[in-house]
Amino acid sequence: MPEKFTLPDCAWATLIVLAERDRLFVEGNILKIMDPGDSGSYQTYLRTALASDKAKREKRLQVTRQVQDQNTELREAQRIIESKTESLEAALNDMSEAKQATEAALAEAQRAREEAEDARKEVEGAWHKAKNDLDYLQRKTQFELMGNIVRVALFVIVGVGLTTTALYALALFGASASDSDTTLLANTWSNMFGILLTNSFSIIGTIMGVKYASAGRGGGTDG
Amino acid sequence: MIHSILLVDDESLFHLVFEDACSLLDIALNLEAIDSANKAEDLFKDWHRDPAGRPECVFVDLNLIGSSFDGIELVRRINSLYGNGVVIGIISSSSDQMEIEKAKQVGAQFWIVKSDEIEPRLEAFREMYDDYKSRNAPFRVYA
Repeated sequence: MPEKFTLPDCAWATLIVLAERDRLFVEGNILKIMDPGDSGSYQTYLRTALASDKAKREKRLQVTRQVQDQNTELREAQRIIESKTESLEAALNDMSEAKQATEAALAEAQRAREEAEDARKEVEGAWHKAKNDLDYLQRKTQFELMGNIVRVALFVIVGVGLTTTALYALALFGASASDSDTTLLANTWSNMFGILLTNSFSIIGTIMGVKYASAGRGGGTDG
Repeated sequence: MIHSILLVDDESLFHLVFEDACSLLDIALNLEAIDSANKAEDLFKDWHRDPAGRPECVFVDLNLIGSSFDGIELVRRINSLYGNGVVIGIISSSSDQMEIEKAKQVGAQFWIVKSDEIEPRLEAFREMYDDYKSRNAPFRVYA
């Protein structure tokens, strides 16, 4: 503890004038080591200065404590906010990950849809091709059948025509032709030839009708 | 009255509280407050070479944010390297028994718990101060 010190009278007088006129006092711990001596006015000044200093320190201590309490509350609030911010960031990250997963699933679904669409087109193409092949096969069979029918019919017609014509010629120009009666044979040949021609046209008409019908059915299914 | 006190605490508001409380209670005539254990160590290195201006008593906060080491380590370094008999202890809002035991082991002489009403603890400390200075007082927790 340092020794107490005193001031010269003029210094005390100045301090007392400042205190009375402007309410200004010496402050701080220096007051604790000032010695007023026996002078009543110096003692009064020092007592007043110490009281003023104490009042100011008490007030400052009170304010500082309030600020300290508010600071503690603010720190706690900051801690809570930081904690909530972390939670929100975590939730945001989860959402972002979920969004990415959804987008990936969506892309996968889109890809699967495109693949399904491609497969459908492929199946449709195969179906059309099979249908065309079948149609072609049917027509080919029909044409072959018609060709066979026409060929056989022509053979029959031509064969019958040739045979009857040969028999008629034999009857007309053969060895016993002078005493043969060819009238009936001529009529018969003529009738038969007419029938053959009629049948020939009938066959041709039937074939044309079948062909027309087949073409009409095929055009209808294609559409 | 203690001639000079050094307070090492990272909370600047507590500097004001401690300074005003010490002044109002006539505990200290001269008080210096710093916020870092590293600064305190540097000061004690200087005072180890030239003791002029060295404080009589040191109050160290336990957790010193921004410092390389905590208050207990600072107490250990001051006691074992540069202290030369300075009265030293911890002032902290914590009253963790394990930390208190560690402080005692490194040579802290007291542990004052910081709270809203620190004045009664400082008064109790002041009453014991002469025994701390003469190294006759046992370690004590002011809670």
